[in-house]
Amino acid sequence: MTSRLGFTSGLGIAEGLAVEHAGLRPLKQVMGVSYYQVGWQRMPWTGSRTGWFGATREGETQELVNQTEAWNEARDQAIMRLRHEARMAGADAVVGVELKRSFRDWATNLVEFVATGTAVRSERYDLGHDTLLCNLSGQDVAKLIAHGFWPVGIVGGSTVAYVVTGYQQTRRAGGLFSSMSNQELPDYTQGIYDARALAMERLTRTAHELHAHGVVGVSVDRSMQDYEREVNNVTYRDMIITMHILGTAIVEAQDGPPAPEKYIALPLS
Amino acid sequence: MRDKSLFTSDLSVNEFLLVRAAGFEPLGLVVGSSIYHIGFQAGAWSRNQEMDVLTQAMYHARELAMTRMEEEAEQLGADGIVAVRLDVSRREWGNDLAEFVAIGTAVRHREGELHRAPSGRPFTSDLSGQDFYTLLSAGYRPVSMVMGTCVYHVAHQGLGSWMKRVGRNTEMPNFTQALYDARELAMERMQAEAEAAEAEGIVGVQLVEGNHGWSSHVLEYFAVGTAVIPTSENHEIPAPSLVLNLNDTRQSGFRGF
Repeated sequence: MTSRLGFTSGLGIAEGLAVEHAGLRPLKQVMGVSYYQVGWQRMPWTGSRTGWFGATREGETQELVNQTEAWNEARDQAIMRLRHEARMAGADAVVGVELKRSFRDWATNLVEFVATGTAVRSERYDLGHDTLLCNLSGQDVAKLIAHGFWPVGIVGGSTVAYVVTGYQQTRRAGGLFSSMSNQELPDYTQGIYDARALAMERLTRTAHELHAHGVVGVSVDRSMQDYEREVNNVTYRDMIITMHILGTAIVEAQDGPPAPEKYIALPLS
Repeated sequence: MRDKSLFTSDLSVNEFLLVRAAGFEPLGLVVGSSIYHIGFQAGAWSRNQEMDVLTQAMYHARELAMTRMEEEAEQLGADGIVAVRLDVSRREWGNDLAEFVAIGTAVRHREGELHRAPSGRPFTSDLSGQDFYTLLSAGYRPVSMVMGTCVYHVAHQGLGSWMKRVGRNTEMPNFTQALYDARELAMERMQAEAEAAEAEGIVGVQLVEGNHGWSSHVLEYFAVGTAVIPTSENHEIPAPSLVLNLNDTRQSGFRGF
């Protein structure tokens, strides 16, 4: 490619200066895209041969395997392609990665992930073979490096979990008189906990693979949807929880610089 | 390899570095959650009154979420939890359902200095990492998040009082009184919690008004803040230096598609 352009970057002015200060030279803006089709999903209670409660017990949370896989695969693919593009450009790291996730109206069952960021090369340190990714701004990266931490990768976990409501909860919360009183709905609460454990487990597994010491800036994004199911003239309100967790894994450098002194400042803007 | 295990935290980089500078290590993201069915209570049409069933529900569900979060911190052996967020969201499916979530980062002091609340429970604080650092350097430490809530029914205006006031500029003493009472009750309860926690004061109080799907005359006032106790006699901070900020509100040039 013969381009006279020195570099392209999605960094702002202050961000660019911060990155340069940390000894990173911007090379090129990079991107990774993945469209993923979600296959047919069987709902948990229909899967059994022995009747609806054969396979799944009441009050249990089950992961919808197809949808869960779709989100996780699509995210990993987009990140992998971004990493690939960065490596082609000869980069050591990618800063300011933004992951965008969406559904399209023109195609159902389609999951889309777009990852964009700025590939940089380190002029001060040898960062090894793997391209380091992070979804932190240039300023944040510069601050981390100054304190002896390095971002090592974007870690994430998604889950789509199905909560099967039990008879106990349905009876208590839906009854004519009992619905007047305050009460917790234990099946739903447990469902949220289960979904979080499922998504978090993927995140920590990836972080362990990267030999990370910690994960910062974790965002938890959840949405819920109800699903009506009728058995023997009783309507059960089941719940589908979609949860996405994303963060940046960091490592502490063994011979890191001493932390800069902090002082209290009064910004004039 | 270090002997410490992996931590996760929703602290931003600034918060993470400042919490460490304050002498603490993050241990993990802790969550407490409760999905709650709020009961029913009818308010008298023309009377100002507290809806105690609803107040009770908001208290109980928040308590459940907070206690579960504290239990997770306890399991991690934490001194406390910083940057706690307490959210209530209505779910449109199901009748009168609300989801209560408390999320924060469990932390432990690096030198093993105990920072727990006088009750022996982990401290909780809804202050950001930045505020936490500043508070500690000013010689205070957080003990617990304190809150007070009050769900109140504001009386409807009767026909007589409407006739008297129609078309005129005038105060509506009935409404004024109702909102005063409701706020006062919420603040009072928060203060009582702080006194029970043996705190010296409360910082960062927020007073939030909300309606969680009730009729328009029913309002919730929710007061929340962080109760603090002094750690030293000296509360002076180094003189702040003036900084001309080069930051733009536009942090990054490219914002995606």
